[in-house]
Amino acid sequence: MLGKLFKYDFKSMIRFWWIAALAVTGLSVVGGFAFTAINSDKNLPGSVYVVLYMVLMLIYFAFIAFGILSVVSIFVRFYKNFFSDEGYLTFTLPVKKTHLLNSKILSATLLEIITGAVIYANIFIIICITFAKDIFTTQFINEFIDGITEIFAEATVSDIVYLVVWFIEICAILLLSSLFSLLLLYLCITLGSIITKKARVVVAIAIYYGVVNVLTFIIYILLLFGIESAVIWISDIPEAVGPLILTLIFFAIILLMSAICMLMYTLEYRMLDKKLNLS
Amino acid sequence: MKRFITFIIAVVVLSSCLGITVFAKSDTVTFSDDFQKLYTEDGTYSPINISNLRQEYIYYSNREPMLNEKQKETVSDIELEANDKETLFRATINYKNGTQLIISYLLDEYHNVYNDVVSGNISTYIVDFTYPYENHAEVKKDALFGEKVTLSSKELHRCDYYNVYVENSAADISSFTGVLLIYKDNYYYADFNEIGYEKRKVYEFNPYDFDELDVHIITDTDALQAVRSSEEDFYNDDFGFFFDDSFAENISLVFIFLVFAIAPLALFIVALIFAIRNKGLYKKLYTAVLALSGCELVVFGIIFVVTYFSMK
Repeated sequence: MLGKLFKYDFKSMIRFWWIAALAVTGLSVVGGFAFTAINSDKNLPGSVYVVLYMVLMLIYFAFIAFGILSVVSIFVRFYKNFFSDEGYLTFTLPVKKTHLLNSKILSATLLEIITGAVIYANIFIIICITFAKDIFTTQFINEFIDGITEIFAEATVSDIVYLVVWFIEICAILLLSSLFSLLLLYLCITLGSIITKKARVVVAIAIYYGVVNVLTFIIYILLLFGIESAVIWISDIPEAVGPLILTLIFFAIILLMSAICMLMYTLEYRMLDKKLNLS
Repeated sequence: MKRFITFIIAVVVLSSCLGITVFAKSDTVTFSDDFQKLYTEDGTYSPINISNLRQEYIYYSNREPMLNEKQKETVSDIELEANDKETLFRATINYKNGTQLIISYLLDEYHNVYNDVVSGNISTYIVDFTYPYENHAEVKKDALFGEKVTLSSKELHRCDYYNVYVENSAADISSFTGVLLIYKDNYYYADFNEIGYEKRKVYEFNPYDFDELDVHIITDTDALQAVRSSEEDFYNDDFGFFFDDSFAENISLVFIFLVFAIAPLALFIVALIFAIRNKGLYKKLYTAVLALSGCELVVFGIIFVVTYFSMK
């Protein structure tokens, strides 16, 4: 049943998302050519440059709007499916509440991942089109391959193992960050719907805004005091154990973020299970 | 001929730094912390409020400086001057007994006191820590000319950068050629840089390069020929910043422990309580939180132990 729930949740989220993704991709292609025109040696009229820069601005805002659209899709699906009239149907389905929540989380996470992938792919498209003359040459490709080969030739087995491990750990941290922001959004929506019967969306957004500001302040304080000395501290660690320490630090961050996400999931489930009253 | 190393370190960020100010002072004159009152042990010199003098000059440029009766007994005249942009204000106070004191204020664009320097026909030196803008002396070390001033790590590590200023009265400041820093039998000499209108000489260095420092003001470059020099790198891997007792690093340590030890421990305890009190699915969920936070504490403990022993 989880699979079916996931399928319908995901289909609902990408109903308009795929149109936006195509539009952004098309704009990226246009943007690539606009960059090429701006960087070219031809002396184009001033009005043409104005139009080109306006196109680039449009593309910039399109990227932002695309990102916002994915968040809005997640928000709308979660809210409508759980807290609107549709919620009466949702909670009468012969499935566990954990499955309902898990399908939302999984589909939203997948949407965030492919949204990020689309954005990065479009940036890559812009770069490729802009620098096509320099990139798609035999010389560049050979130099690129030689560079990669040289790096790996000088690297030892332990270097490569550490690199792979760090790559996996960083991906895990990014995934957990995405999960954390998602669960925070869900918690705020749920809290807003429980606290008030009217203007639930407004209250949910207000709670989310407040929590994000507090977290930003805390992170700012942490970075203010912690990061410089942490860097100095790490640089003072002997080379023999440095990579191991860094691996363990990443692992500790993963465990800490997992614990926090797990707690948020538990709170969310508890609120849906015990506190929610749609009538 | 013995050779010596010239060592110059990063540019000072004046707006956020402590300054080490080396003054030349008379052994009969002492200055109070706020540099606005001048007094002596035998009462020869009268206190003058320099801030008022500055205001009178800046805002009432045609007005004569106001002195009270006691001040008039000892002060023969006061000469006030400022540069065209009114960024530097200088009061030259001539006393009836023939001595002279020159007090300079460096002003920022809002006519706030940026730094003040007091000089006169004086022969001893003060090493001061002063906060720009606050006109506040944190540490004051007196030394006679030619003697060293020792700065401890706590005093050194309060700020990212330091200046050593040398001023001398109306005497020719070019007689001061540079500063000699002595750290663990390594000698580092740096020339002073002359700064325009004030004829101030500045040496700038990064205090984190030292955990204790002796400062000598050198006026005779020939004397340096006899000074042993070293080419060793003075960065010491055994500084152990992780266990340094300076304030900023303690605070950052606190935050590191807060994030990686205290918060997970709190999470662990809370999850333990709720796991015990609940049943079924909730028990499993809280147990998962418990396990994850517990693992994080173990990993952080391993990091701490490995780092501690590897840096020993």
